[in-house]
Amino acid sequence: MSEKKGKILELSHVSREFELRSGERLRAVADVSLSVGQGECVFVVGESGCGKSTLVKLAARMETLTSGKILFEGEDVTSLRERELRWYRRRVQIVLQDPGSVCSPRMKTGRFLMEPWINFEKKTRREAREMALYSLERVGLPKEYFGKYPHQLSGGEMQRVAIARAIALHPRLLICDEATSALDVSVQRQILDLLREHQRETDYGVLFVCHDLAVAEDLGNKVAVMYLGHVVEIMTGGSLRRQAVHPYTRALLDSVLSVCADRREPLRILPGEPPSPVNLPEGCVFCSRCRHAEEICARKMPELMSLGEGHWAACWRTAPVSDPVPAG
Amino acid sequence: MRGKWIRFSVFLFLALLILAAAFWGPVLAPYDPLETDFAAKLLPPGRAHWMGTDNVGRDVFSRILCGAGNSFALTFFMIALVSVFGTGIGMVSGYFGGSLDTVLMRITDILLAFPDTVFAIAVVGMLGPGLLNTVAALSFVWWTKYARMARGLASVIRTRDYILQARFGGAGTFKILACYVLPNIVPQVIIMAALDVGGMMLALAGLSFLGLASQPPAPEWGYMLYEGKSYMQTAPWIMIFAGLAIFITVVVFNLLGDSLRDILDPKEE
Repeated sequence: MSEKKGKILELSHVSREFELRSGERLRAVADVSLSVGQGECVFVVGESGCGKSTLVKLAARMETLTSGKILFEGEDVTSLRERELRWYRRRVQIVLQDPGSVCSPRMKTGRFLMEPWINFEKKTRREAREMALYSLERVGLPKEYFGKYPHQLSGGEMQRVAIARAIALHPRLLICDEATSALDVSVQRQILDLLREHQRETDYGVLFVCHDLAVAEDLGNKVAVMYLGHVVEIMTGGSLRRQAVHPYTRALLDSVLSVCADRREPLRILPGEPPSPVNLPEGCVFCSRCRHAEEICARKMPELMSLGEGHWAACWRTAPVSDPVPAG
Repeated sequence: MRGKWIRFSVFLFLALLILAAAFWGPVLAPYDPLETDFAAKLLPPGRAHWMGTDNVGRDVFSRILCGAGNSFALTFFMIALVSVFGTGIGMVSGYFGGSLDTVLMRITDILLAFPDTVFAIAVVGMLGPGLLNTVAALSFVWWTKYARMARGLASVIRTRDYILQARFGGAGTFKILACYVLPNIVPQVIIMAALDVGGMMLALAGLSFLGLASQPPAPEWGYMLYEGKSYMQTAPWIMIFAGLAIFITVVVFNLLGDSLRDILDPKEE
C-alpha cells in the first residue's frame, strides 16, 4: 500500500565518520541507503554499537554527514542552516529512549505539551492549553496529568506524553530511537499499539530504531538490519522469519528468546563480539563471525543485492549468479 | 524526609529572627547608638547596659541591633548583585561552549587567582576608602564563584535529552536558556547564595575591621570589632558581643544553606 505513495525520507549513500584522537577514523554509518514512504513504518535493527543511533541522529539532522545525501519530501536537507532546521523540526519529530529525561525536571507536563503550539504555531497560552489537553486525551491520559511534574509520572506514562507531543503537530516523519526499550514489556505493548493506531489515522512515516526483532516483525513494513554501520539486509516486516537469508539476520532470529519457543531447539547465540569499527579490514563486515565465510568474503564487501520483491541482502552466499542488481 | 524539613524550619525561624532584629533594630534599641556619654564609658555589662558600653559611652547592645541592618543590607545587596551577574555569565559560557567559554573561563581563572580581601585593599588603596569602592572591588572578584558553578551545570544540561526535545518543540536559543537551562540552575544558585551570606558578611566585616568599608560613627559589626580592639584587655565585652553577633549570624545562615540544599537537591526527589 505504501509503495505507490510518495517518499518522505530518503537517505542515499549516507556515511558518518568520526576522527578519533589517535588519528584513526571510525565509520559509525557506512554508505547507508534507506527510504521511508508515506504511512510506512521502517525499522532499523541491530546490536548496540552498530551505528543505528548515529543513523537516527543523521536523519534528525542532529549530526552532520560525512558524505551522502538526505532528501525530505524531495527536498535536499543535507546541509540546513539553523533557521531552516527549525522548519525541518516542525515536520520531523523524535521520540527518545529514556522517557525520564525528555522533559525538563522543573517543567510541568502540561507546559511541555504546550511548547510546540506556542513556539511553532504562535498560539496564545489559552489555545495551546486546549491543544495540550486534547493531546493528553489522544494518548489516553486523564486531564490531571496536565499539572504534574515528570518525576511524578511512570516511564510508560511519560513516554505517552512524549508521543502525544511528537504527534501533536502532525509531523510528516516520526523518528523513534529505541522508544520502547526502557519500558516494561507490558507497557511496551501499549506504546506500540498507540503508535500503530495513530499512524493508521494519519499517513506519516515512521523510522523506528530498536534492537528487538520481534517488535520489528510485528510493526515494520520494512526492516533493515544493520551490522557495524552497514545495512546487511532489507526485508518486508511480516515475512521476516521466512525471508531472512543473511547469516547475521539468521543469527539474530535464532537468539531471540520467546515464551512459546520450542524448548527442543537450542537457543543459538552468536559467538564473539563485533570487531572494532575502527580501521575495518577489506571484505564483508560480518566475515569474522560468519559460519559460512568463504574466500571471497574476506576480500570484498558485498553490496545489497535484490532477492525479490522488497528484499535485499548483502551476502555473497545468496548473491544471484547473474549480474547483481544494486538496491535502489 | 521529615527530618530535613524540621531542620530547615528551625534554621529558617532563627534566620528570620535575626532579620527581624536587624529590621526593627532601631526601634528595639534602648539607647541611641550614636549618643556618646562620657560619664558611662567602658561600663561592663549590667542592668542599665546589657552588653556594656564602649570607649565613648555608647550602648553596645543598641549599636549591635542598629548595626545589623547595615551589615545585612550590604550583604544581601552584594549577594544579589554577584549571583545574578555570575549566573548569567556562567550559564551563557557553559551552554554555548567553544571559544566563548574558553575566554570567559580564563577571565574567571585570572580573577579567582586574586585573594578577595587583598584585592579589595589594593583597590581601596588606589581609589580611596569608601563603601562604594569596597563593594565594587569585592563584587569584581566574587561573581566568579557563581559563574563557575552555573557554567558547570549548564554544560551538563545542554547535553540532556530535554534540551534536544526543546529544539524539536521549536524553542529558540533564548527560550532554551530562559525556560529550560535557567530553572535547573536556580535552585543551586539559591543554595550557594544562602551559604554565601555568612562568607560575605565575614568578608565585609573584615574589610570594615580594617577600616575600609563603613565609616565611623555608623554602627557596623566589623567596625565595632576594630574599635573594641584597643580595649580588648580592659573592656573585652565590646569585641565579644560584636564578634558573637557575627558568629551567630554566620553559623545560622550556613546551616540554613545546608538544610536548604538537603531540601532542594533534585537527586532526592
